[in-house]
Amino acid sequence: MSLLERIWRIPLRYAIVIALPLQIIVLWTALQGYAASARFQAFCESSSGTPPIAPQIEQWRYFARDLFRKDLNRLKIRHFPVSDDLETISLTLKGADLAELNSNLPESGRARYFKAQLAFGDDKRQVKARYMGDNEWHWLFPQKSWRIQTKSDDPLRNRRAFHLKNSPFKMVVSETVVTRLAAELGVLTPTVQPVKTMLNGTYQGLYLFSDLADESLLRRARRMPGSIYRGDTSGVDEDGVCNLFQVETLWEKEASRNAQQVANRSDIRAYIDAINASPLEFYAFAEQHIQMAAMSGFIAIDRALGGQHHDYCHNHRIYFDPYKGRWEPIEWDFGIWHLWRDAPTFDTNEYPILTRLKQHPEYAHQLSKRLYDLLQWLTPKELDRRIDALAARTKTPLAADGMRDYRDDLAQNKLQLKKAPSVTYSMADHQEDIDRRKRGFRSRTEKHRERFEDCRVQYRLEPAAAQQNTPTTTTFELAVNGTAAATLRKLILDASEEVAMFRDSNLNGVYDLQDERIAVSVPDADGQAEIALREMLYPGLRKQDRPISSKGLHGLFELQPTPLHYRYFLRSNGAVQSVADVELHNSLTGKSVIAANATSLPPATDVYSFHHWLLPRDQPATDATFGPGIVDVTETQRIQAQHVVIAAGTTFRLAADTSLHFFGKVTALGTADQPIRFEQRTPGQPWGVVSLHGRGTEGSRFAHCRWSGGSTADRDLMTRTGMMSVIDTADIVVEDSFIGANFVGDDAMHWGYVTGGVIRNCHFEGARSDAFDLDICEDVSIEGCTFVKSGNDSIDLMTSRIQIDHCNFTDAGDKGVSVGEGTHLKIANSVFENCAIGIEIKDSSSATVANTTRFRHCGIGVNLYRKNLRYGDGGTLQATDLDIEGSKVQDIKWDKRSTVPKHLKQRVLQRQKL
Amino acid sequence: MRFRRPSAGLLYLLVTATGAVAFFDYLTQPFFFEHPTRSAENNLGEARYLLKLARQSTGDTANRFLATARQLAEVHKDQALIREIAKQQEKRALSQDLTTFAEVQPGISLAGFDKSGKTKGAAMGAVRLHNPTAAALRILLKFETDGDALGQYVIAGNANTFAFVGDQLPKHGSFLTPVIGARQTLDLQVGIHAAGPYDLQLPGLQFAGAEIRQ
Repeated sequence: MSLLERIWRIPLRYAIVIALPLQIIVLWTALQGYAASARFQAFCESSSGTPPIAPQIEQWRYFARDLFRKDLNRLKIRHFPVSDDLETISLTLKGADLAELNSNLPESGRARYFKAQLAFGDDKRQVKARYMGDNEWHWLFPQKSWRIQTKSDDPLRNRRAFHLKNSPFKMVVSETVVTRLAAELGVLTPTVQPVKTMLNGTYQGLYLFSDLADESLLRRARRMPGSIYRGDTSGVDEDGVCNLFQVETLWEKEASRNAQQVANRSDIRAYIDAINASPLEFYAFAEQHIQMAAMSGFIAIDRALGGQHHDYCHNHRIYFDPYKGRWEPIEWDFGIWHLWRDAPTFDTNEYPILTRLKQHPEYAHQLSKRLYDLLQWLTPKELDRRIDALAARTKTPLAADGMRDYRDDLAQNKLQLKKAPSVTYSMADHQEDIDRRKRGFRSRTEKHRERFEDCRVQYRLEPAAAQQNTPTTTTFELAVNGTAAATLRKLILDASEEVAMFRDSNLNGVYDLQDERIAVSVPDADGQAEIALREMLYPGLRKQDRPISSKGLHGLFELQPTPLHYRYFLRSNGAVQSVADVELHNSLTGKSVIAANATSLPPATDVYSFHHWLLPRDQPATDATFGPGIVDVTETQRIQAQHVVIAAGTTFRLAADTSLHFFGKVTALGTADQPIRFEQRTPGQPWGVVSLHGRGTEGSRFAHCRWSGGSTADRDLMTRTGMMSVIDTADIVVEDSFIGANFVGDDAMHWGYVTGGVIRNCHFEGARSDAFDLDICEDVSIEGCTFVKSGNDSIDLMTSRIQIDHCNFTDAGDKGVSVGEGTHLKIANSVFENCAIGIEIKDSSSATVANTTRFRHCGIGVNLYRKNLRYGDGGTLQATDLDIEGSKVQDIKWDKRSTVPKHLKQRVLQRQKL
Repeated sequence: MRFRRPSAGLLYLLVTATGAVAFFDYLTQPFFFEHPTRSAENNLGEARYLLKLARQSTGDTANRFLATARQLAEVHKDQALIREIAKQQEKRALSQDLTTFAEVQPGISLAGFDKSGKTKGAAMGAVRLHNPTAAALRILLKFETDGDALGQYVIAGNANTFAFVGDQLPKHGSFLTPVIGARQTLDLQVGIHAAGPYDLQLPGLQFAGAEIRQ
């Protein structure tokens, strides 16, 4: 009998046996789908508080199809990928602990931590682990997101906690692209990088290693520890709009400058007050306390990639720098790229700090300019390259990820589910998502480019009749509309006599004494007066009602372009007949703008923008001079002059608690015979500080100056801890000066965020605590200085790159030089004598000590250890030899986390044996 | 050559195999929302799905489903579907009489409120006001919450809020309805305004009484 005949005549009992597996597969798939659908509906009901819709066959099919696809995916999976260059994190937990984590989700997943073993590259250690995340895609489905916490004294890569997140997107590296971009733009951002994750020896798939917004993040980003606030929960105001930006108590403090500042909320109070203050008050606050470079970078990324996750309600992390006194946003949880969403301006959505900034046309222009600059190099091709590079690295591990899933918002919306299910996707879907984003970015960039070009200007001239012996006032008015500002460069008028041009500075429509004269021009032989100008003409914004359905998250209004008017008065003894030419340029693109001559201008109604002519005028660049002789300072002075010259022989006598704050360049060049002194007005009553603050002070020079008797000062939410404080500047030189005893505060001299500087031939003596404290300074050189009887450290370094040469350290109460928290020091030709510790190197810092440096009669010559638990390593000593004599305790001391050259270790051990 | 009938076993195998193929083919078909956005497959598929949901739903939810379904069907001028949806809408209007609601006091019926007369979370409750008199009147509806929230009421698709926000203490709020003509009925929804899809734990809204205003 042939095979065909056998099949044709197959007995029923055989057929039942042969068909059984297929039937089981069908039945299994159907039942699994039913169970998954029922489970999800039950979860929706319990979490949303509303009954789900009646069960539908479509819902069953949706979940059954997902399970079927997952099974197919698993069948196609190759072995655990090892050929890519992604790192692997392996987590090992007891089975019972895993069972407890899963016992009653979501509560059980976050109720407590469980002990686990973690391996990350070569780092292996015991950690604590639990599930994380409020949202269901973190815990409801097979791929769970984890929160890992190290032992407090055993951080992993200088982190005490981090997340392993299951990405809710098909393009898993979505957040990685955003955070890398943020870092390039100088925006504070967590590191988010793809990693392969193993759980108890089983591959769990491709996860995102994500930092927390905490003090460790600040330190890694070279920022001073300060306040970090989390804005993630909100109530609603009487209009139904989330009130996160109205109520400061809604902001949770996640980090603070130090233990004493944990409960201090004066900074966030000031921030929220300013956001709800008048335009002028907000502007004053923003000028002083908002780091516009970081803020504009943050907003530019939202605009470029269509971010809509930062809203009236949540997803905000902000940092206050205690030294600079400025707020910076932290790039946090960017979410979906709404690349296709169109809006009348650059923003896909707005929130109070953004609308307040945009209310001021100058800031609105700065924000647009930042986006314009960004899109000059972040072209679609460049973004494609970045995405492709990341996708190539993650392709193999993702293909091997049998449980990969994404949050299906579309299914939630269309199937009327109360929550978004996470379901599997194919590698083709993954690629499709990538391609869709690339197309979206191209389209969005095109739209932005159109907006960069959208600069519409109309003008009109209202001539006045010429009258004999009386100057006439002709009105020249422009209306600027669109999304790009214009620069008025030139105005050519047909005029018979000299013309003076005035701004209607107070916007009252009438020429008066408050109006500022900006230019004068005499007509040429052809009767044309050419006026060269540099007037910024910004477009305006008005409020447009938004749909009420989403007002909670996105507010009641969005800002749309509207004309903003600029009125000038042309005063002349003759007549100004007409405008021959107006030269305007687009302030973003630099292209020429054609202004239309109109008989009437479009009305400026309901303008939300605050006209920048009403802002306080910038002080004209001035110089200030002090001395010579006695200068009594009886109250604190903020000296805004662009350049301050202090004559040799000047003595500042500062009353108790008074300070001198300089914001411009200071040249204080005394001589040996005629030094410049900063001293107490009343002996025994310490003054505050002498401070240099900001980039305006760059290039300041001090020679033969003497500081003594000062202390600390609080101003504008900041504390100045050094009698002489130099903050956020560059290229500072102090020579041949004396820094004496201070009172109350930590430091005799304190530098923070200084790039480039020299302290040469200075003498520090009797500092109350640290003589010279440098935080986050680069390329500062300390040469030929002597430090005597410092109460604590002679030099205290944090996260800095410093050189010391030919310096003497004598009788330091603690360290001669403290090299801490990621500092790199080079020291040569120096002498440490009778210091408690010569050099202390700690917390991931390194010091290169030349053998020309001598240690004499110190307690410990060089001490290395890990002090701050946020750092994983101790110190690293680089030296060929050390000239140490007479140490009272030990020449070199180190702990197990520190690195000392082998030969030096052996020498110390030999001496100990002897 | 004599034709021999296939065995029952072969027929069984063929039926099973065909059934399995059909099952998996059905299972792996794209959903309506996976077709191109705004395409007929997408929009009409959604309209049919919503119509099905509406048949199994009640109150405002069903009305909402039907309204959306009709909108989608009208975009693609599917007359048969439009007729079917319209039929459902008419049917619902007829069945939505006062007897389906809990009668709170003469002329006022509530739906979507629990037994104690309270809404849950972000859910909206439906209120039907019937004016049995021969004169037009307005009604002041009063509500309470036991926490901070913003009350919202919707009449004919227009949402309005009534002040309710406070200091985490129980509080009262009320609003005055538009004029209800003689022997006319006014339908509205009322509940706590949900500011966003997540994060907010909303207190319920408790019906606290009504006053008739001429």
